[in-house]
Amino acid sequence: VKRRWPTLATAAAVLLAGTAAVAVALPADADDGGLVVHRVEVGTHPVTVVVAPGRPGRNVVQVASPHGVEVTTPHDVDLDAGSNTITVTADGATLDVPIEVDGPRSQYADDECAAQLLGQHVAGRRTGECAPPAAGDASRAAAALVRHAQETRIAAVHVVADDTPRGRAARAGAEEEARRLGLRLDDIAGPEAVTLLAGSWSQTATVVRDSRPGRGFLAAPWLLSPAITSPEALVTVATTLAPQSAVGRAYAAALAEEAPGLAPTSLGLDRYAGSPKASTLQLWTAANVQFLPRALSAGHAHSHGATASWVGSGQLALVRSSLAL
Amino acid sequence: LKKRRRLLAPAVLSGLLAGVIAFVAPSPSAQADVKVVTSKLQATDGVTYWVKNHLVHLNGELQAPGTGAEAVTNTGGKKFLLVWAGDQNAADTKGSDIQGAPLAVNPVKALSEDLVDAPPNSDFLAVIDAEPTSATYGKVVNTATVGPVVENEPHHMQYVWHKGDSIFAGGLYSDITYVFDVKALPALKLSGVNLPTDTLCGSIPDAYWALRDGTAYGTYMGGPDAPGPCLYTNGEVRVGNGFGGSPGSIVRIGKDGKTLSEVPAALPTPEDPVACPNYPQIPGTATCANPHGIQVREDLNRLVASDYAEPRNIVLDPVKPQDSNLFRDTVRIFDITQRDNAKLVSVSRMPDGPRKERNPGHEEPRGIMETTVTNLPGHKGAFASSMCGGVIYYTPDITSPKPVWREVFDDTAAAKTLNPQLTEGAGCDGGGWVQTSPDDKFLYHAIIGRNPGALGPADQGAPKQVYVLDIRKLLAAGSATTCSIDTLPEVFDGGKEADCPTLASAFELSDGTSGGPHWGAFDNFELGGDGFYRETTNVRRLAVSNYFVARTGVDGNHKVCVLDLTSTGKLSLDTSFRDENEGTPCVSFNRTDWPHGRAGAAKPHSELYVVADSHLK
Repeated sequence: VKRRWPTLATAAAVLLAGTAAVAVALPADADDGGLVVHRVEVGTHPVTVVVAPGRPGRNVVQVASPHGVEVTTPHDVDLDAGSNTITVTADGATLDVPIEVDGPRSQYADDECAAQLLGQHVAGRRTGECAPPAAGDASRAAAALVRHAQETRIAAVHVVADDTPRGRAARAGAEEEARRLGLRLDDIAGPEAVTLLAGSWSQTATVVRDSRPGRGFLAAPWLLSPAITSPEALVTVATTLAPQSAVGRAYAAALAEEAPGLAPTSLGLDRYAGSPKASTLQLWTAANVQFLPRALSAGHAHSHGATASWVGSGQLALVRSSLAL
Repeated sequence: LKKRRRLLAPAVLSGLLAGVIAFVAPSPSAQADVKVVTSKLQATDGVTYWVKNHLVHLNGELQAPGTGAEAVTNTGGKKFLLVWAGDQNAADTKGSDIQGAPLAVNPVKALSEDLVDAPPNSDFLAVIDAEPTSATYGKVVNTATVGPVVENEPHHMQYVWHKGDSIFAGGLYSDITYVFDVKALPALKLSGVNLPTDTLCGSIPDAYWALRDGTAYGTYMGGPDAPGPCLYTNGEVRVGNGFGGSPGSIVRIGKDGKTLSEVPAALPTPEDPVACPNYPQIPGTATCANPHGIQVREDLNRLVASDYAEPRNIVLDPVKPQDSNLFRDTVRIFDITQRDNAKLVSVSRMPDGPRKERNPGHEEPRGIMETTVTNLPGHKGAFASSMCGGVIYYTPDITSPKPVWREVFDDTAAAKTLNPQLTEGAGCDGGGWVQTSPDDKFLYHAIIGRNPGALGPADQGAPKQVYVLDIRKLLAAGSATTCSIDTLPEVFDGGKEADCPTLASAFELSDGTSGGPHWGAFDNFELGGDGFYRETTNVRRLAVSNYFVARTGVDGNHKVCVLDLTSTGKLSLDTSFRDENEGTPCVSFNRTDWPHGRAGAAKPHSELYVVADSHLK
């Protein structure tokens, strides 16, 4: 295993390259030819930079501040083999972060893949390429969610999926189960339907933002991320590994240590745990169970988890303890 | 260090994943002098749930299920304080704890009680020797851990335990109600588990009232699992805005944990949408139905439930001011002639009082957290208390279809006896447990307190306290009660009408935490000369716990204290109820080791006095 650490010269170069503010690059960390995770300082703000899959060619860049400062950078990048530079901006300061990549050329990259590789990375395992999501257990998971809808006395299901193998499998599984159970399949998110989310993260975020199905949302197990929470929509999300489990906590803690600011996700947890075969799902909803509304809680210290939150400022409340796949 | 962790990770994971989908961390090793007895059952989801007793040896004797005379020789007492407690773990860490420190699990805590505590361990019922004459008074003799679900956020049980009752204990975040058989104390058996899917029309269980037939009513404060219409067991339908939202429900649970009935807490007609905001809105069916406190008069066929708040408070725009009306001001009374078809007969809004608060959320009726009924056959009244309003309400007749509620005491009048220099009232003082004495002479009330500076730099805060009101004259007035706190002098001095409650005593339980005394239970058992316990209406002891819900920002010092009571209602600290590790009064749940192992600090929310069946007549 060959590790790359920035040399003093590199650090000095970074210092010089920093524009308006003092910018110091901290020791970087990269797997051999794989995921790049840098912890840098942009101005006075610590920032985590992740480049996935960390190979020449197509990559996505994720940046985050553990202090909640808004950080920006180009999201989709095409990297050359060898040295590259990515510009990161935080609170008016910018920093050019050197990125070294090598290995086979990447043809595909997205945020879901980045989350998966990050889970592998913080578990101490080598990371590989990105690929469109495979079908896996998507059909069974979607069918299970349809069964949950039926057992929750919901009469209709509106399925939202994408054209990946995973999305197609999920749609087929959901529709077959709906027909078997006598649930109506709706083309729109109507008042009697639950919307079954079985597509990509980006598609899910759009649907949750723009639609208001009468019976809420049920989300597939690969969709748990802070982006799934919505101020005005109830999203119940499935998991194969409980975020509160020991392995869930271990993953969140490792992530907070190695990539502070980046939120835990169900995809990352799955890879962290070695993608175990699941036989059941648990269902959760994002809830901010604050018994003291803000305006009423003067004088009380508010708590914030030491580890990154799975759902922004809320918690996950258990909706169903076991749903057979 | 990093390299070592990486090498360990796969090995650790293989262990953690032995039960791949298991919710629980590997149990910390139980102490060597502990006997482990497990009780299991399969719930409606097909999963096996368990309670694992960790029974402690006392002076060579094992605290095991005893029978008859054999158990009398055992060295430990046979009256117990059962405390429903949650494991404290990394997710409870406050922002202030990590300020200025690198992000990591439990980064700055220095105590081993916390350092060992990063991953979640099991929640548990602590069984504490509560017999004052026992040599092991105050010792934890069993911790009955529950699983496989962790992070239940243990909340309430029923208010009083009587011979033959099961224990009903709820998990705020797990939406689970556990039912325990306590006949063989100090060991417990799991006799039922009620899951989120067993109460589709309600969520986030709060409190319970055990009925004489062994079943119990529970308040489910939050809305149906899925938004939209929900069909209740009585055939009625209400539209809700989803899990943790509104409306909540009233659930009757059997001794086996099964749902016997789930009825709506909401009226079939909409309530005032301004007074009862819901997020998201429930078009055309606004409701304040978020039942929290619950007490029952079986002889009058009445159930009283107080609405506290729409609990979910979904992630709204953090800059947008919240509506103080999310904190409810309503009390609901149900006719329970048909036990499985409780009928809502009245919804009463508590009246505003004379205080004009700068923060509208601190007005008197905000957040009617608790209610308590009178007990004697000649009495039909009930009380209600507001958490943020800081006052006590009373109605003389809960059988009336239009009960009249009046404010009868402002917590300010108790606070001034503890701080004569008080210059700010009881707004948002955090009133919690409120309970009539079994003989209807007194009313007990626990108050978390308001921290100094909460209302501004000049605010001295409101004391963390337990107070006792003498309510005899109020109840003696029957339906002709005149007491009403409607002038500012009465806020500070108490009601001027002759039948108004008077303060018997106030006892301060100060600490440096964000919390304070939130819950309590009275000791309704006395030991006879024959060595057996009997239930009594002559209460001489209160147990009080100092914990609210850490993840709301209001935590506590995690201590359970016992207060002695005189016949005139005077409170004093029972200094013989001591922590077995520290030697000081009150039992601390911030400890490193428990009978179930090195699990670290725990969060004690509620408690009950319970006697082993073999020693209770």
